[in-house]
Amino acid sequence: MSLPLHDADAARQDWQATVIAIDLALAAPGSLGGVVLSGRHGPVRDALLARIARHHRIERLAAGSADEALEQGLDVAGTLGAGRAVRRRTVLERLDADPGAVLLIIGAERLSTRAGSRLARWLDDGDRRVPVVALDEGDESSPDAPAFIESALGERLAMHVRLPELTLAELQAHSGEALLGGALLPAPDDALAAAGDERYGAANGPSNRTPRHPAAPDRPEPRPDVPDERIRELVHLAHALGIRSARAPVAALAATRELASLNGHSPATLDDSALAARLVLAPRAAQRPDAEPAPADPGEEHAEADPANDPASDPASDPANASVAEPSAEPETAQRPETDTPAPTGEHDPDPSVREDTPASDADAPAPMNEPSAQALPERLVAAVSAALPPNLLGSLASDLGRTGRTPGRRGNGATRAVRGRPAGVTRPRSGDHGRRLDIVATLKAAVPWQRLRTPTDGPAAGSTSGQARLAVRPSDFRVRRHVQPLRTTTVFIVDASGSAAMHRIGEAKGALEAVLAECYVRRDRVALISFRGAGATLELPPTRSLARARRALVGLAAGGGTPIAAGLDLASDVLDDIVRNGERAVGIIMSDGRANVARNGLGGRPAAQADAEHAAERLAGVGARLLFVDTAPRPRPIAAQLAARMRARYLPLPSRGGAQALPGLLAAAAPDAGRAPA
Amino acid sequence: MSRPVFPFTAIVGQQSMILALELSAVDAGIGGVLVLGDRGTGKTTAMRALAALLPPISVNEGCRFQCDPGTPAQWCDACRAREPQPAAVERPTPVIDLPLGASEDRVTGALDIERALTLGEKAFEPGLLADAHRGFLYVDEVNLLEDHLVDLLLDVAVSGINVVERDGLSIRHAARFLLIGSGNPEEGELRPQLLDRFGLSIDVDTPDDIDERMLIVRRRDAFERDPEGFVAQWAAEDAAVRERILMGRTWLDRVTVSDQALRRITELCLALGTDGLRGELTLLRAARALAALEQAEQLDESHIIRVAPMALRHRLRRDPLDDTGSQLRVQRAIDTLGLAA
Repeated sequence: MSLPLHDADAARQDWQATVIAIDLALAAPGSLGGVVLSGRHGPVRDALLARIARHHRIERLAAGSADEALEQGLDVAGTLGAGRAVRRRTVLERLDADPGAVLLIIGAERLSTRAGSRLARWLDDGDRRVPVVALDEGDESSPDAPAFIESALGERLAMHVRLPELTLAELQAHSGEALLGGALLPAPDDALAAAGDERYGAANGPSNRTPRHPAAPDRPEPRPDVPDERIRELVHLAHALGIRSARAPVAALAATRELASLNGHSPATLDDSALAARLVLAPRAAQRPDAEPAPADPGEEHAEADPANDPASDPASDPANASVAEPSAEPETAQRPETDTPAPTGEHDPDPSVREDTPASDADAPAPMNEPSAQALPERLVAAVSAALPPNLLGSLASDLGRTGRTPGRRGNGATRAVRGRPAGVTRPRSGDHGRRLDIVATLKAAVPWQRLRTPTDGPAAGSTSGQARLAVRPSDFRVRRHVQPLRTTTVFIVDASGSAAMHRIGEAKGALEAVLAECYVRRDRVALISFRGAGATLELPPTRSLARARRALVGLAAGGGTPIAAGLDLASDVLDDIVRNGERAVGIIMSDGRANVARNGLGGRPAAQADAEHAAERLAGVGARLLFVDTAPRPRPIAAQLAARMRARYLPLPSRGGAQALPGLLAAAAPDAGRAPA
Repeated sequence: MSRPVFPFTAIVGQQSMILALELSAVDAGIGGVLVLGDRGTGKTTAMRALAALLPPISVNEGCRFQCDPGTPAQWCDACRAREPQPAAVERPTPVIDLPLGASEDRVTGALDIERALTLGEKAFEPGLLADAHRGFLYVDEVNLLEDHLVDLLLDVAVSGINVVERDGLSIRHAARFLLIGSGNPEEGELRPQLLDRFGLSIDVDTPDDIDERMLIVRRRDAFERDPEGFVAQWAAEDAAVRERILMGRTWLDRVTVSDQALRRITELCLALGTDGLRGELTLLRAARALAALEQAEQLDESHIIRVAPMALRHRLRRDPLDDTGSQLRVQRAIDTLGLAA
């Protein structure tokens, strides 16, 4: 990141990988779709774009105006002028007519779902002669927006690279070097020329650009073979990285083939597939390749039914089951790739019980079955991928938690009937639309087609002074502006501050909370804090956006006394219910050991307290908030898991003694900024 | 549009999705299929493949509403008015993609702006619903579509008639299509009211099995490298499925439903507490379509059991935090009732 740590070698390799990714995208839009460059605007990006522009016309599509640019429509002014229908051509129509072009999407992470899916459809259906270069300016450390890579369009663009961080001097040197002949490849242009790839368009200038027809019958020379072994490795690797989509390995295979073709290899070598894996698979990784338990016998892969896939894997019953079925094998003793990614918050402890205890969410978290382990994969492949893994990937526990803290976040439609928020086009007014602004231009546009039908007879226009020049506007023409207001999320922490919890690790819990608070602040979410101890529960902090207040409440959190879980959960129900009723999303994070000893009536006694707690948990389940139960007990017991199941919360035991200090780090994985700050 | 389509039979795994699509192709009255799942699970591929596999339909030449020459009683006004009678031509089964951003005008049809502007004429320009008549209407990311559009789609899908009352136009035309919605549930929920209006609902997931995944990658790769050759290779299998579906359509009327079977269906729905009669009707139709597909004379319990999960799982009383168990709940109800396959 920062200069003192600047690694010139790594930067050069990154640069080369980026250049290759772009060349691949330009050479084979048909099978690869395109490339995503993530990173901020800057000289590096400019240099790369200039490289593309030397041989291709660049058609720009800015995220902000994408919806309109993609919409077919009638050019009203043109139609009236010409006396016949004049259609406005969409960007895609222009591109289809000009195969030498490149579609450059600026600010891809801000592309609306609508525009994104329109483009995805275009990639699916069209001839795909036009490569897409998407510039993703999203801040990857901010969990706010969903990552572009997970969107419908991002999914279909094979290569994703982070812009290399180069100094200016390096940029000059490398861009020269890469053009004259890099280490990994001959100079890209020469390579393409050497490969006789007529689809690329003959070398110089736009004048003699030849259209490329990947799907045309006169297909180019036979593509290099990719040995079965390579395919198997790529599929294994994708699985080991926790990549669910089948598109990723397919794209990785296509990229391998293209790379082999560019490099003049046939059949494709491990170098080709390693680089393809780095460009295609690594950025999509959901977990580290070595993050899974070793298989009993990696050589044996039967097409057996996967037990974990069985409908019987009811999430509610999962935690109990899973804690029994701990894998006996100690994972990853051997075979950690040498070029380990520097984990931002220190090494996580690969405690198998912890990972296994995390209940699998609906579809993610691949089940440990005929496991493709890191062992089964060539070290070079794993090393190549490890070097390019997303930085905040700590392991399945962290990513699982990260998800919990994040998926209830900001995805979805938001309220389109809002009167404030981001503008989202115009619409006809509907009943009950109060306070919405009239869009004059859109209204006039809507009225124009009717003029010839309206003028001859009645209407206010006819009665007005100089009828001819006026536009007859009727109520049906009115258009109002639409706004999208994202749903606000409020996260409520329900913290067990009883004596037993304090003994254990209230301090760690505080640290973890602070990390999550910072994350909420980044997302402009609100937070609230409830603590319970002694005889009852207190709302320490009503929902607020103020990070400072939240910190103060947290620091001042007193601990000691009995454990009135029922009271805490009851108060949580009230607070969360309020939030849900206000039309916001509510997330509750409960941190406790789940062992109640104070009942609702304030009296002690375990059985009664536990019964009350379960009752309160059921009530909480009905509120409609997303819940996460973090078990703070040093030795998690089924009782907490049961309680979590009652409230239908996701259950997460804290790592046992050894890994306890990892908690803040793990939570911080959801908010890498906060985690990294002290370092 | 010129790219060949990945063959239906070359799709690896995903049996329940494939079965649901086949059943709907046999009996469009089942009322649409909702496919939920992550990206890259073959939703789009399967839908397109099925459409490509179905036989061409016969339409009146030049008709914007794809009137069927075989049923003059249902022709649109334009076709009826034509002299001499329009000729019949063959056309591939229409597959209409409904883009997320489509406006209501574009979907239902609206004033023909071109003619209004240039000729001052009030004419109707058919929309996507008319285009989809007798074919498929595919809505990807249906969970992100605006609610009023989804409402409208489901209304038309069930009634088979599109009524346009706007812009001073008053038009009604036939629009019978198979509605297929897909979406990624993580990106937004579909309102429960809309959810249970889909006939069948399927959850898809990428197979966890390495060999299966290898097979997916290999086939997809083979297809990308040589689409025509790959399609030719699977043509025979695809043709067999087509035959089965066509046979099933004609067989549909031959399937008899005993009182016993009907009672079983009702018992199952009661045990699950599904709201309203829609669940029972859909279960009946789906089971009958399956019987027809297998050319069985009588609907028996095995048919019911096999389609029950996809016909009922989205109709259970909703549980906002946990809907993964719905499949299991259906299974449990089947077990308690002692239904035997």
